[in-house]
Amino acid sequence: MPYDRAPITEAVVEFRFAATFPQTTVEAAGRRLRDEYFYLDQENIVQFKLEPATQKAEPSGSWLGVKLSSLDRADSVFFRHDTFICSRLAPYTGWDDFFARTVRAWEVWRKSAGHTVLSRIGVRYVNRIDVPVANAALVRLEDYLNVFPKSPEDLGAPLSAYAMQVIRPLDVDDCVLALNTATVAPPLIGFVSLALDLDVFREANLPQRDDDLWDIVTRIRGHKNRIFESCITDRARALFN
Amino acid sequence: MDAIQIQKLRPDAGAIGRTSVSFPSTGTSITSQFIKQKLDDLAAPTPSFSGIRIAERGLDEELYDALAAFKIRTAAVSMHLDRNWRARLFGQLDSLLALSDWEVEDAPPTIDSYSTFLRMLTLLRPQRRPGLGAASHGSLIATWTVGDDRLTIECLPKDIVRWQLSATIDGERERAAAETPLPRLAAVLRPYDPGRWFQNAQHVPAG
Repeated sequence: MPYDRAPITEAVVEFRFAATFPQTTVEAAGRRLRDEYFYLDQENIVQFKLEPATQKAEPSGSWLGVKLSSLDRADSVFFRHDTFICSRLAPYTGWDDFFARTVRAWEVWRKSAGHTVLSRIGVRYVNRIDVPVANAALVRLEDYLNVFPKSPEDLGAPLSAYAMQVIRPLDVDDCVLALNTATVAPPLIGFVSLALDLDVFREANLPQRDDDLWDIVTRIRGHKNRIFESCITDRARALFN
Repeated sequence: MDAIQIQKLRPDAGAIGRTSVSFPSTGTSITSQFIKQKLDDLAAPTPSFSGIRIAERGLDEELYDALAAFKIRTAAVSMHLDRNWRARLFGQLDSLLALSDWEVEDAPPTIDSYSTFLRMLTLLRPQRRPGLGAASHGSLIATWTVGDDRLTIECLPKDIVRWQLSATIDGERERAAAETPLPRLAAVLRPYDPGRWFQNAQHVPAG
């Protein structure tokens, strides 16, 4: 269901590779897509090694891949040794735009890397429900979510924060749901923010052909939508319109 | 009933939008290490929200990184902003942080200051976008000017603002200045009729 103010803070399609690719291949893919994105950044992992003798931390880095971003930094593509990621930050502009951009970036990857055997396909939507609190002292989780932690009433005062992960096979399309829900530090003053992070992924019977790949990605997105609607209440929906 | 108690905290800029995880007392068992790893995973930002430059940076890199960080931080509240309003704000940021116009000795605005600025915008919801400037020590400054009436707000870290204004009220010139926690800003400006600065503009209101 499209919402006026979709609570999606990030949409992600991620493909993990069964084998790693050399830096030259990853860089070539980045160059091929360069004209379609405003920024091209290198991604590095930096680790610090503490030298006991000198008490100094020496940084050492390893190259991870390239990140292409739009001028407003909302659209990104990551080409890495072992992963392809297409991401959209808020404001979400809809599946059609996002899917088309994902397909295009994957075409570019395939031109550079050739046939790519996958080990995992994931479609992840990170949602954040911003609940206005006005002068309230409490926000009842069940008013907004149908998935939340339960704890005995006699433990004491209400929760001040929570973080919970549920992993659950979906019994359809070999998919698994990784659901994270948590309180997050609210970006808006006078609100409580609840994250509902849905990652539907598949690690078995992965497609070998792109047509099949997009078919399963589209189906996974459908499963994700159904799960999202199951996890929220009408009161939450009212906040998005 | 499972409920969340409202916390009146002023979060660090780096914590905003991130999962609130409290790491337990340190344990050494495999189970405690496993739980710590799970909590690390829950609290970790996605690739789009991670990434800082560690090495010593030149001014051009500092401005580049600041602009990227500001746009990514804005994404956290973009569903609450009018899209045209947001696009124009980004145009202002592009101009403000352009290397060619930047004083070499000045520090770029910090993400902590920008975070306060963004929270101020989503709290006050001004129809008119402010003019943007930067103090030499890394604070973002928002300015609204209508005729001779001027409101200047310097955004400090952790939801603190330092403001000053001059306005004509009932034919008399008044000046005021103070440092205020952001949640009280609307209340302390109310006697000066802040609508004179925030409304009556051609700009599209925040959503």
